[in-house]
Amino acid sequence: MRTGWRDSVFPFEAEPPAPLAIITESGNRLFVTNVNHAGAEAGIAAGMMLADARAVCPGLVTRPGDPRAEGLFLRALARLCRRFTPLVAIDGSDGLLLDVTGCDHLFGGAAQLLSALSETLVPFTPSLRAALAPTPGGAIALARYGVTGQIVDMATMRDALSPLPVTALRLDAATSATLMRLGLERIGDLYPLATAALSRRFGAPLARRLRQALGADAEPVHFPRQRRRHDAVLTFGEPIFLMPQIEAAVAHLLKCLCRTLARSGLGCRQVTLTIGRVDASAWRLVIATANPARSAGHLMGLFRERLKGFEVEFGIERMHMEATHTGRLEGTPAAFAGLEGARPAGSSEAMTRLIDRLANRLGFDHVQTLTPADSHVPERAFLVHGARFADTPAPPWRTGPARPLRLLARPRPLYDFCLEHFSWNRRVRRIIAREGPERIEAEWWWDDPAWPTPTRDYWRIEDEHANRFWVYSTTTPRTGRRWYLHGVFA
Amino acid sequence: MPPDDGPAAALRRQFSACALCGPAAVIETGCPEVDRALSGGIRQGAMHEMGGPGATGFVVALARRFSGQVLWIAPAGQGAPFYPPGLAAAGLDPGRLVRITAYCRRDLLWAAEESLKSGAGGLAIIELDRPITLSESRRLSLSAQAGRTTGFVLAHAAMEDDAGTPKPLAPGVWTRWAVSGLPAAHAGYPRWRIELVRNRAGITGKWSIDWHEQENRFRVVRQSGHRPARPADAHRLAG
Repeated sequence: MRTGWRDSVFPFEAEPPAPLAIITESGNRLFVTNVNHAGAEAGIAAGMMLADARAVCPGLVTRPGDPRAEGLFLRALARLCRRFTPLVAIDGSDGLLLDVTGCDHLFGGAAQLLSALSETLVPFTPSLRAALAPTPGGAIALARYGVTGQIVDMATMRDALSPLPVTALRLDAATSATLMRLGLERIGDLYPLATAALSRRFGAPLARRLRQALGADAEPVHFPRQRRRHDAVLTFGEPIFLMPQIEAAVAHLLKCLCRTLARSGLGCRQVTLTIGRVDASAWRLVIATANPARSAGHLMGLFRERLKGFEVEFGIERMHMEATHTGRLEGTPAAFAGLEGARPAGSSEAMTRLIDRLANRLGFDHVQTLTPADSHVPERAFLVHGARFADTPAPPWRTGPARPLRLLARPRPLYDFCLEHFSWNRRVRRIIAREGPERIEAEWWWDDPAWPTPTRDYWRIEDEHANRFWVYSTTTPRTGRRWYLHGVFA
Repeated sequence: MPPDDGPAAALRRQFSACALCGPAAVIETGCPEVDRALSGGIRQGAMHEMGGPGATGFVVALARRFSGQVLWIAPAGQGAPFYPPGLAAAGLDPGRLVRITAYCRRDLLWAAEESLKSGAGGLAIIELDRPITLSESRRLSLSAQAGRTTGFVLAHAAMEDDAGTPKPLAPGVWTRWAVSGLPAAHAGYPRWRIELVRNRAGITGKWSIDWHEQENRFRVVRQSGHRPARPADAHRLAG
């Protein structure tokens, strides 16, 4: 059955594979970094230059390497391996290190564990090499340089490692080259030599690596901790249809989720609800909050807004809710009750909830706070932030020359502007008074299409109805002096 | 003297619960003449509509007298959005502002209702590109009352025709103002001609007022209609 599934996923495996190499560019030269089985049989090895590889095997198919995608794939494989042990570490760019201490009996023994592991991973990496050894160093050496599928215990460790090349001890290139030159090619060649002599001649790392591989020294391995998932699932014996039922289910899930979050001292920043319908179609609802939140009532309000217009169709049979982003929620409400009460009207708690409600409907880029920016250019004199960053302390606003209350998103050309009058909004306006000019220079390090000329002369002008405008003039050799309206002092 | 628990007392309680008669919190404008017409000041928990070419400046000056955060709700992608450094120059700290934008009027009014209902901010300024209708203003008024938040509707944003005649608009709001600019006496003292067109609990009137930024209050200008001397740095042209 497993074979049938694998064939359906990888139909191209049926054909004899062509020699394939993954190449990367390094210092203007192309290297082979990885090669498949057919390529290796043709005589290509990793580390070869592409020109040499092509000479050896003219029919070689090459693909550029993608380290990021490879890293993601390795991490996905690491996640897959969590079914064998919770301790999975990534070794280098193409290896996984699993600590299966105390896990083998769950699979019926070490051999069964290793074969189950191979069966799981081979569909994804056909060239898998695996080995089981009592030390991390030994396991890495055997898996990378030994016969695949070996299971070694402490008693057979020395003999198993002895035929492997010294490079298997994870040495740097200089040390292994020196050892090779001296005729110490196999790990077994190092056994008769005294540790002190080895250290004196080749430095401490060689002796340490050897002792670690043989289990004489401990080798600490860092196993990254799994991200804890905060989620809750609800399945229904009978499909549900009615909105009150759906809301009750969502409220129940939220209560469960908030309880889980409370145990970790977290609040959610984003909650994803996946509603599974009877016909296997799924509906995802995502809500976000400006600050970490753990109040089921508040989150329910956000979901209620989203559930409007939800198509139940043939009924709902499953709901899964996960806190996809979480944040630390320090302190307890009880501890800060005094402070909460002392806040003025329009307290930040009510404001946070309002921002959540508004932003979940309008989008987080539509609820904004403003801070000053260090620029004289009117368009760049302030910064806009999504309201979720409202807690950052803002620098004070400088007040300098007069600025209009409203700024046009785009300056409008005033074609008939002269010193006496100009027309705007379908009316000719007489100019009663003007103040200026205030010369503003563009910042040379910005290449701004709105500033084709480096300087603008800004004037404040007033018409006969006491409307005040902010206009500027620019001069280019080609067009002469041009006037634009940029703002109004409403 | 009727007993306190009689039908008259119940009626009195009922009346005092009614929005028109209840003692309402007000924000004084700082200008006795205007405050008298408003029976105390700008009523809190109600909607006030500002129109005319000088409305933005007047609203910004009034907003300084309110405490708490100011929610400024405006249509997105509008031609002339408010300019934070300009507000800072007018004395309103833009750090107090939360700018909320919406693409369609439905979302905008929903955001306005939510903002007013939540009571999170001290003041909500709602900019509309088209005049507000009766049912809209009624709903906003009820939201403002529920959240005890004051709302200003900028019915016609800046850049509108400044002919000065306010159009007859929906009667749901508590007060309606028509504001037009006047030539300022000094550079830092904006001057407006304000007209209280509608007032649900008081009289209407017309005033010419100055904004005194240092004192954070308005002052009525006694002799309006005469053009004061310009500051020395301004060029006088044919006037």
